[in-house]
Amino acid sequence: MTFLEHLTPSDETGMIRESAEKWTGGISDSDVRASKGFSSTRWADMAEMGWHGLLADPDHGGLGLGPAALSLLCQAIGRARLPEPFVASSVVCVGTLTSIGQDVTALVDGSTIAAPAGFGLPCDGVSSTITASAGAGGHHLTGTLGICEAGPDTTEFLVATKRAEALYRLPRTTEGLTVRPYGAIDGRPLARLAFDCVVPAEALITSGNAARAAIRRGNALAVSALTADATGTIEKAIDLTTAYIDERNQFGQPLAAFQALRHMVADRLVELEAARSMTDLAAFAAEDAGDAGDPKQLHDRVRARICRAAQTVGQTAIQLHGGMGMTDEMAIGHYFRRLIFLQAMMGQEAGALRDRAATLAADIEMQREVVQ
Amino acid sequence: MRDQGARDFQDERDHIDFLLDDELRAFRRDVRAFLRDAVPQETRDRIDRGYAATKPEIVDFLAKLSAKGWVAPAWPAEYGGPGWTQLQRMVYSTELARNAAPSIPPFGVSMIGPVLYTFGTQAQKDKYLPGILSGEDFWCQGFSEPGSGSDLASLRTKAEDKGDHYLLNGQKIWTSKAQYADRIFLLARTDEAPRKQGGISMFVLDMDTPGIVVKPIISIDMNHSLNEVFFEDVKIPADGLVGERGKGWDYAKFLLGNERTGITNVGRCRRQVERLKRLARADLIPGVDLSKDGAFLRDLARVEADLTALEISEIRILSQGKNGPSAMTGPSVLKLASAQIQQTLAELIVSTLGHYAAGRGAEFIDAFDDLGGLPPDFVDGALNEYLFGRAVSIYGGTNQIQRDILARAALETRP
Repeated sequence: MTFLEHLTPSDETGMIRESAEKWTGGISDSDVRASKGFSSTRWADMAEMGWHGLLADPDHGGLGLGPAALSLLCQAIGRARLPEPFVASSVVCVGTLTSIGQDVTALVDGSTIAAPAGFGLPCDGVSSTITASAGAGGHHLTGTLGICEAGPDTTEFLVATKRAEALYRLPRTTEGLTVRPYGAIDGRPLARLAFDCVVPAEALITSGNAARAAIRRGNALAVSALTADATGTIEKAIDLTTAYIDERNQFGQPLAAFQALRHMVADRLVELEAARSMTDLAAFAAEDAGDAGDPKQLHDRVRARICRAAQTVGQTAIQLHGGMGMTDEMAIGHYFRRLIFLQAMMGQEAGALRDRAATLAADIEMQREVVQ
Repeated sequence: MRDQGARDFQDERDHIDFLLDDELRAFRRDVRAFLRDAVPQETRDRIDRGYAATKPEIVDFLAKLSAKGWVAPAWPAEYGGPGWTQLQRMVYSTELARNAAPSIPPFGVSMIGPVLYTFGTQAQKDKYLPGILSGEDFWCQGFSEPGSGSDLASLRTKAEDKGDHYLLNGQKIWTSKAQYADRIFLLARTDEAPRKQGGISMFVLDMDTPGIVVKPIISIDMNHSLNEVFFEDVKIPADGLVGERGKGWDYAKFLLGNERTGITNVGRCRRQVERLKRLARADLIPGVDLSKDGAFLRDLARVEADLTALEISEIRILSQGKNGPSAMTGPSVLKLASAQIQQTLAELIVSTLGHYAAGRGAEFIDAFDDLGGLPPDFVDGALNEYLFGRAVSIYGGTNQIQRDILARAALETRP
């Protein structure tokens, strides 16, 4: 598939977008507030629509679609600020497991929920410090992970060991695995994981180059999904803001009559366009992972640009809501916090620029050697 | 060090390549292969360093393009265009800039040409289009006036209907390259109308018509590309009227809307990123290794990410065509983003020069010979681009006008 084809949604992809927009359109802000981080009804609805299996093969009950469709879906999820661990379970875990031929049937039908540990979320590389050693009784996993998108309903973990050497698939009930829950800035559940467990050899689902490839796949899908989610969130934050300043009157006229405010909105539309472009680029890079060379070359730029768009749009949205923007009652603050969560999951602009700067420094050095 | 400044990108397989299909990749290779021979090394070198192409350089290059039928990429085939798609045109204009070719002057090809083949008479098409396509006729644009910049519709230059001719009186300003121009297209008021946009007509005429005086404006880069043009009792033959009398404003909007391809200058920006990497290892600032300067690298990484987003935005917006969702906002978004990137790159380049940013011209380069510290000659020229580059956010609708357009698209309220 070429990038230009990628920009033109297929019929199936178009249908996903339509059904996503229709379904999320029926979810109100108070519905989302009431669900406090997870709604099993919504999770079941998503299963019904086939979304958990978007990336899975048809023989595992999946739709067998790719990142283009996924990207549109995640934009709709961002717009509705749904807290469910769709990216964690249905994108990163299902996508990674599918790439190595693992059974994902239960994840696809929504009866189980998985969380990636040590890769994917955050998506800026492999953050794992978990070590594994094979012994007589099985494999001994040790170490801790500070952040994992796991909630009370998470049933299994996909664990990357350090340097992406291996990938283990563990049930939550694994003895010696401690899950310490805490809440994310945007209200979804997260957890700190501590491993000191001996697991059967079958828990090791892949290792070596195959594990690295599978984890790269998971990260590429995560970059694409998080970027898309951020774009949907940015769109909605801009929509809420323009609606607010069109309606709110001060000095006898709508706030939107003031040029200083109008120009702030205009600049954020430029950010939105950049966000959309990076979303398409990230989806395409995930589509074409085999041929794109080192996707990190693109991912660092994608993460840097989308994070800045998220930050500036979020801040402007709050500013233009004035005092009301500071209240938890208004939806805008919730979108702002979702943007913060997404930036954190992408390593923030600062982290992405640091990574890209290191590559540029190496480039400059290399050219110096060529010249001398 | 001259060869460094002129390094080109002929064989590079970059991230843009990976976004194109095989057909566009092959097209891109053809364009590169052509440019390799068509642009003399000396021209390439000057342009790379930030100088404007000279008229002879432009004439020479346009003649080569003309032989290929590549002068007017956006024109329909029936008027002599190559029949390319939007994306081919984008690849083409990007490659021109990336290979430091002289840019095709927009006034004939992108501005008046499409107006004439869309609204002009057969006689006007026959008279004017061939000279544009051959690159022989240079045009200039008479729109802005001293009292009418962003508020162009308030223009006061007057053309009185005298039967077989119009009598033109008034003044235009910021007329780029008028000193080289053979012809001018302009807006003038022919009638009083209730709306200030009404009563404006568009004309074409020859610059050697009696009564036209061109005076140079030296710009902040100390170069001469801008002019004032004065009209005193200039007789425009009646057949110089374009389309219908009083519809000049519509044609002007059409003309500006046609500038879509090449609006972003991404090719030049990509080349500037490469120049920055070269400058970073030129060690121009004593005791500083920019490849280890975190602040510099971070600035470079940030503008490079911006540029990547702009490159994708251009592909996305152009591939949507004229009825796509970004048709209204696209051009303004691209212009704002691009102005920001171009100006940031020029500023970053100046920042790598250290003390050398103070000097200018060939003597400055030579003078250092005596002092024993000869700077690379590509240091000269960077300031030209930085200084004149301040105009990027002013011409073609200032950043503030672009923001007004975007705000109108996003907000219900009309101030």
